[in-house]
Order: sequence, then C-alpha cells, then structure tokens
Amino acid sequence: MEDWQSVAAIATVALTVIIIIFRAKNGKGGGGCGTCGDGGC
Amino acid sequence: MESSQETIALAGNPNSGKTTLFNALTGSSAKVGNYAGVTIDLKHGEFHTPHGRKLTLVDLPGCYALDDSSPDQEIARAVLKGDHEKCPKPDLVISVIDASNLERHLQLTLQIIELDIPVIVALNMVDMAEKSGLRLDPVKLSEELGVPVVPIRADKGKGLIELKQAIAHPLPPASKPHWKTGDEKDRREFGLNVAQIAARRPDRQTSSSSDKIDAIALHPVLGWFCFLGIMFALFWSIFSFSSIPMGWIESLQELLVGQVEGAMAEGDFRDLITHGIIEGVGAVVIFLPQILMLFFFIGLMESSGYMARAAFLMDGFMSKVGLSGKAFLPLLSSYACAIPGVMATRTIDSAKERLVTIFVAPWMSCSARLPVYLLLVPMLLGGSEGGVTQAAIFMAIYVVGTLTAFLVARILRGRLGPDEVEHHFMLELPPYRLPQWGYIFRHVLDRGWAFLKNAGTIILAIMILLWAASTYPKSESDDPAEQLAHTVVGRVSAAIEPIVKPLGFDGRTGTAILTSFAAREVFVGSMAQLFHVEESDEETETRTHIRERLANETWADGSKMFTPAAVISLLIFYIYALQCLPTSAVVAREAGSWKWAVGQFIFMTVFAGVASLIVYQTITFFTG
Repeated sequence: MEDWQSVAAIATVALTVIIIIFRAKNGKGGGGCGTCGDGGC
Repeated sequence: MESSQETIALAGNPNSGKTTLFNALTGSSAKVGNYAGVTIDLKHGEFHTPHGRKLTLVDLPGCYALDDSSPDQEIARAVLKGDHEKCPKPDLVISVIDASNLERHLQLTLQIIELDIPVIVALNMVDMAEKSGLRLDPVKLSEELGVPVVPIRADKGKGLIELKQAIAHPLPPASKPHWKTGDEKDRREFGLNVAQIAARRPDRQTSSSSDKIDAIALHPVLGWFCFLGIMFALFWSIFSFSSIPMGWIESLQELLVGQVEGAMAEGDFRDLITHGIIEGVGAVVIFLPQILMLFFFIGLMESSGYMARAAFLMDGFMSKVGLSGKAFLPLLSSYACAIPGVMATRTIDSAKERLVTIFVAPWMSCSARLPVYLLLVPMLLGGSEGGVTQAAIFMAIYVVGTLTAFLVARILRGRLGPDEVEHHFMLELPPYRLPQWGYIFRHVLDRGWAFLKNAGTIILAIMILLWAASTYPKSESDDPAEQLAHTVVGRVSAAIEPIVKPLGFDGRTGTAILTSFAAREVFVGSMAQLFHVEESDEETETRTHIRERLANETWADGSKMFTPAAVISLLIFYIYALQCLPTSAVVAREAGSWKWAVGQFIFMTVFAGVASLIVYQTITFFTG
C-alpha cells in the first residue's frame, strides 16, 4: 500500500517541477504576491 | 470604402472621473479612485452607440496641460497628437470636465480643441457642483466653446445615453478656436471668461460639508490625530472582524484533512496532501479575510476622497526628505502592493525623484507581508489575538517601514543632486463623496481572487517542493528529528544555521526565509511545514497550533527559540527585505535598467539582515 503512495508522491513532485520549468520557459514564471490584482503581479 | 473602427479618447484633468466614465461606457472594472494619478497608462475598451456602431475607447492618463513632462502625461500628449506608436490618433476626444472646477479643467479642453480634433465635453458631477451653489449653463458653455456639451454623472450612469447620442455619425468636424491659437495667455483669459459666463458662483461663498470636514481632516494638528485614528481603526478592524471567517476556513481545513485521512492509509502521498498541501497552503489562505479587509479599507479611503487628504497632510513632511507630494501617492499605493506603486511613479516629473521613489517604495509594508505579521505579532503577546496593543504594534511596524523609506530617500536624494528644472506639485482636493460600493466590492473580490489564485499556483508549487525537500532522502531512523536532519531541508538548515543564528533564527526558520524570496507569504506555509514535528498524532493542525508549536520550540540547550527578541528580529527582517520577484521585474522595467533592480534587491536584503542582527543582539544584550 505504501509503495503506490511513494510513487504518486514522487510523480506529483516531478510534475510540479516540469510545470515550473515549462512556465518559466514561456515567461510565466514568478507569479508574484498575487495580492495587487493589477497587471504583472 | 468601409472605414476601420473609430477611436474615441477620454481626456481630462486628473480625478475628473475619466476612468469612472470609461468603466460605465465599456462595462470594465479598471481601477478608479477619488484622487489624482490613478490612471498611469492607456486603457482600451469598446462600446456601442445607440445605433449599434462599435467604437474603440481609450482612457488617457489625466493631465493638467499638454506641455507637462511626466511620463504619464507624455503618453496622453503623444496619443492626442497622433505620435503614439501603439495607439492611432483619436477620431474624437471626449473631454471630461469636473463641473466644480470649470476654470482649471477648461484649459486642457481648449488645448485639445487647438489640435484640430472633434471634441465633446462631458460635464461631470454636475449635480454635486450645483449642490455647492454653482449655477451651470451647459448650453452657454457649448455656444462659447463651439463643441457639444453633455452634463453627466459617470458614477451613477446618468447622461450616458445622451453622451453616446452626441457621438453622431459621421463625426462632427473639429471646432475653430475662438482665441489666439498657441497663445497661453489668450487661451487662459478665454477659459476664465467662458467659466464665468457658464458657471456663476453664488455671491456669498458658503462652506460646503467637504470644507467643514476638511477643517478637521487638514488641520495641522487635528489632521494628524485624524489620520492616525483612521489608521489605528483600520488595523484594529483587521484583527477584530476577521476571526469569524478565519474560523470557517480553519474548520474547512480540518474537515479536508479528516476526509483525506479517512479515505487513505498512512503513506507518503497522504502526508504530501495533508501536511504538505492542505496545511502549507491553508496556513496562507487562512489570512484571506484580513487581506479582503485591508483592501476594503483602502477602497473606502480612495473612493471617499480621504486618500487625497492624506497626501496633502504628508506633502510638507515629504518636502523635508527631498520628495514632493507627487511621490506620496505611489508610496501610498505600495501599502497594497509595490507593483502598482512603482508603476504610479510615472506621475512624477523629476527623473531623480522618480528613481528615489521607486527605490524606497517596497519599504511600504505591502499586503503580502500581512500573513507574516499576523502570524508573528500575536506571539509577542502570548498568542492572544485582537485588542488595542496588537493594533498598536501593527501601526508601529508600518511606521518603521515608512520612516526608514523616508530616511533613505533623503540620503539618496541628497546624493543625486537637485533637478535642473524645478517641478511643481499641484494636488486637487476633491469633494468627499459617498463610496462607490459596487466598485469597492468588485475590487475587493478581484484582489481576494488574485490572492487565492496565487495560493493555488505559486504557493502550492513551493509547498509541494518543500515537502519533498523535507521528506527525501529518507533515513532508516524512526526519530522525526533525525529523519528531518537527513533530508535536503535538514542539510540546508544545518549549512545556513551558523549564518542566521546571530539573527536569532535556527536553520529551519532560515530555510523558511529562503523559500519566501519568491513571495513573502510563503514563509507562513513553510513554517507550518518545517515546524511540524510528529510528536503526537494530532492531525488537525490549526493556525493557533502553528503558533503554539513555535512558542514551545527550544534550542538544543533547552532555551526557548522564539523569544520576543527573535520574533522582533524576524519582523524587522520582513519589514525590510525585498522578497518579491515581480517587483524586481517591474523596477527593472520602470527604471530602465536591471542594475537598479539588482542593486535594490542586494541593498534591501543586506539592510534587512544587518537590521535584524543589530535588533536581536541589542535586545539579547539588555535582556540577557
């Protein structure tokens, strides 16, 4: 039972890394404080 | 031949209500405020005339004249003259005039008429002007200017149909100026004459309710009490009114953790979902009510007209630090977020003053710091929330950031030297108005949504990575402390502990600070994760529990880790450090060089570290 959980956890982490790299390459990295709601934030 | 879609530009003095009219015509929700300088860039939208003709509408930054030199006013001038590379010369200009200030607002309208563009005058806030005793005659005004004049009330949507009908098809020809074109003196005299004919003032000057309020709000002594009282009420409300919705978020969080635990056996994936995601992201999301509250109050002050009074009060103080009142509004915006604050520096004419303002703007405590302060401040008071002392500490935090910004501005301004051309600052004090509730609530919801979106993207990603870094590589040991020491986080913590220990922090706190360089509020989630020690199997971690855990944390020698000195040191670090990548990107763009952004980042980080070190060591020295 623990095995599939380890695989799922590692897959989630790997997917997160891939999404971050993909977004950074497309110039969408950063994200920002998100609270200003204006333009680049 | 079918012509392309016609462009209509909205022009006018700052705070004449252009953006409110833009929103009313296009159905947009662009930022408006009852003070000057809110619009700093071009905004595009579309609307239809009553006959179904689709038109492009461009909202220009407000300007008093077409010969001013600040970056935002250059944009307005370039568009009106057809020199803007991204915006065609408008086919018609709607010149928005505040009916209460006809003399001054007419000057810009006359200059636009000189440009040989068809003009329609939208006479805004007519009913308010008449309430103050003015007798307005729009027909006379139209005859004198030779252009259509439509009385409107943009915030109530009155007169919009008449305004749309005035945009006839084909568009009316440009009016011929009745004064000597290009002659400023002649134009000014003509404007004054027209204003006298079209707007007759009552013989006896009566003081309006705005004047009566201003007698207190702008009083050299009472005004400051008033200002501080409003700020104090703001901080007290943020603490006091948020506890109920925070309780709901906590309950939701606990319910989610319970559901996941009920559905899944113990294991890594369950741990990632409960401790990594729900607890980490939840630790940040729990502060949503306070964020909403802050933006509600900022909206209230902007919309009512009090923000302009705050700028007026600060003007004298600003000149002492070498900045003009023009720098205050960008700095004020930075309390919400440094990004619109930095962008708002476009209203400053002097390039040197603009650079200095950009440099110090991130020291105005932005809303992203709020979760950090909200976690730490109650720790100074034994964990209790709400109350006068807490509000006073909060005010002190904001004052420390602001005073440091002014001090550094003074030093920098002195080093950059005086301007070659002297610039003047003119601040319009608009009449107090009832807040536009619809706009405020929409604005608060937008900001709240942006906060949640951020929690669901960047904070979620960092929490997942942090969970992995604090879980892998795994050790054979069953002792949670040994297991953590074996992980990436454990090793990073051990490496940086000697650097951060003189500031009062252990390696885990140092790691939490490192994770928050992408966005400050990540710190709260990181602390929730990194100080999660499996001493008991209680899985329903809550906000209070995070503080309790931190309060019970000890060093290896058994001494308390989060002493008041360490908490103050952390607060000082977060007041001063520039931990926001998008701010650096915007600074680089606005200052025209990455050197400024990098220099600012290094300076502020070093400043924060040194200030924390001095504060921690001094307090420890005196308290033992």
